Amino acid sequence: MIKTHALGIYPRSTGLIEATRKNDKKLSQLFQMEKKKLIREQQKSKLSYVCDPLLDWDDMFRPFSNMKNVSLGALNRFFETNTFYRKLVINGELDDSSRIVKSHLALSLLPKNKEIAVSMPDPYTFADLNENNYYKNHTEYLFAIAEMLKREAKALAGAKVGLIQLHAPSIAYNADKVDIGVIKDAVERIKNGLKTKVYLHLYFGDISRIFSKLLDIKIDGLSIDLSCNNLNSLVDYKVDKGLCLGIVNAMNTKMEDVKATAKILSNALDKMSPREAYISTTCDLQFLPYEFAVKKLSRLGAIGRNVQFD
Amino acid sequence: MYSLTKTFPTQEVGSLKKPEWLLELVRNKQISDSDKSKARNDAAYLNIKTLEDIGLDVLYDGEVRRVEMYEYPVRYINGFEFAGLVRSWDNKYYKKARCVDKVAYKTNFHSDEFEFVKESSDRMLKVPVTGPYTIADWSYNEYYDSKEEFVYDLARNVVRPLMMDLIKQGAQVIQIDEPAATTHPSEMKIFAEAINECANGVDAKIAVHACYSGNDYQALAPYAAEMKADQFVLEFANRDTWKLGITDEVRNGYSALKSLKEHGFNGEIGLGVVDVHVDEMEPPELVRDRLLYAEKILEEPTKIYVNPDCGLRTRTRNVAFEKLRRVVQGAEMARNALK
Repeated sequence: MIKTHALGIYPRSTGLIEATRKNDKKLSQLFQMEKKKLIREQQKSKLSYVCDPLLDWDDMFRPFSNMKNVSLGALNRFFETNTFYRKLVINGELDDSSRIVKSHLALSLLPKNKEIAVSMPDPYTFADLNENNYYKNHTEYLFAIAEMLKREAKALAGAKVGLIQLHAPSIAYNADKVDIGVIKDAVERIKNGLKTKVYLHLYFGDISRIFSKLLDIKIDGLSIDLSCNNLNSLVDYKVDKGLCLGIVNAMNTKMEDVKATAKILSNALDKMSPREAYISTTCDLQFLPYEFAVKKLSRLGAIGRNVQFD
Repeated sequence: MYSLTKTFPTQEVGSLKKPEWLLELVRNKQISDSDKSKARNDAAYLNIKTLEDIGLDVLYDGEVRRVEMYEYPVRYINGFEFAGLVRSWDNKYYKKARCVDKVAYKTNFHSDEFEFVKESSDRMLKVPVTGPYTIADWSYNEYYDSKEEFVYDLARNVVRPLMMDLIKQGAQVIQIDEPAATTHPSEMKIFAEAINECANGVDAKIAVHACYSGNDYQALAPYAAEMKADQFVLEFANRDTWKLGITDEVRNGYSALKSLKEHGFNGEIGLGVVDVHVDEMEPPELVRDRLLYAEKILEEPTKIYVNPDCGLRTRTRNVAFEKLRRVVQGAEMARNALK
């Protein structure tokens, strides 16, 4: 048995999409109800961590548009998907103290007896996908974002969040081009002095060539998208931190074979012997229709119960 | 083949917003299928005559019968099942299908539509069909071992037979719509080979439409000359400045033209001269300068077709038609400037 979670933005049900289109009077209530349903689905699937399904987040950056000195810009394609996000435009100092992520989570809906996990963008992805009109150079911009996210992480730690997963598709997608030294500095600023576990979730790209450097980042663990990475290219590394294997493909409706997948993961984890291990979806479930996302949650739970890891 | 001899021929790219009255009518369960069909004919006729009045040289019906460019063809291809709604952005969702079996062509699903347009207009017609790469890329693949196999099967067994049937019916110009083509620069070879597979033995002029390339068509350019495409219909205006002039600096949105030429492409270009994502109206002088700049690079104005960046369905009908008027006016100004 291994710990499991499925973080990020979940898909809206057809009913919620329709109600949002019609700007239904009871929309906020409906969002709460639909969130509760998906939290129940996570519990039914016996996931180790529960999370807010972020149904009211239009994209991973949108809540941050409420910050001072930040405005909404043009629509942009989210990597190679057919889903678009609205670019944020940074027009001034990122000194907001309103704790954006925490205030945009329905923490009260999450069960008290379960561990809570939260996802938010990593500083490199945040900097890469949005527009800086204020900071003089990229490093200053990146570190300002890292400091802002550190304040967010502290607020989440204060709310008893047990795991913060930094979503880092830009690092994985641009693996051949990124400066790991600068990324290490930025990400470690968030973890520094924080007891809550911090993982870096690397998806949408092959990170095998930079894996050894990523292992040097002083955070609790790395999370890898196995739809873009061949596990064989990673198993020879000894992992002296936590490892999360993103195995349930959130970009395809095809269902994973429980027994066969669990066996592959058990063998890999045995070789890599990380300090702790999880399995998860490859990325946010929002890239699947609602019914398939629910099926994938159940599949994730089932695989997790079949993986051998001591 | 099937080219116009005039300089800077004008054309549309595909979809127009459907009239509100049509949408209300087709959603009404009290209205019979026969009456809905008549209403679609009326809307198609209205689009065709409006495009003729505007003065376009090449046109179609604004895709008024198609629910959407992906969902419509997928309904008619064996091997697909709709999975549900997936976010496009914010609360905009599209219906996405799973490929669960070998894909197969059932019937010419554009037959009635083409027949009606053919009877309604004497202008050169350009039939838009959704390309194999885009259908594959926008679907979940549960059946094929690789994306290549999936794309090639769609090209060989669905899109090509559809094109052949349209040609038998009289189609002379077919536009293969591939908005997904430039999304994955690393898969350009698959896209190029799929287009060649579609065009194999096809006796018609083939236009290929791609748009919103993240890398300024740098991935496409090396393949363009080898592809069996007579024309590339591309978006440029969206990335260009609104300043008048024909210098490289102000026409920076059109830099890919040089790249296409350097890589040996000497076919026709459908030049996007108006941005379909903004309501602001491009002055005809701006359209003119974009054309004159393209002519300066490509040197053959009969090979430069003039069109919006993409289908205008995201704009209101008034805005869309006015943008098309600017296209026609700007082309006329450019012709005069070359005299």
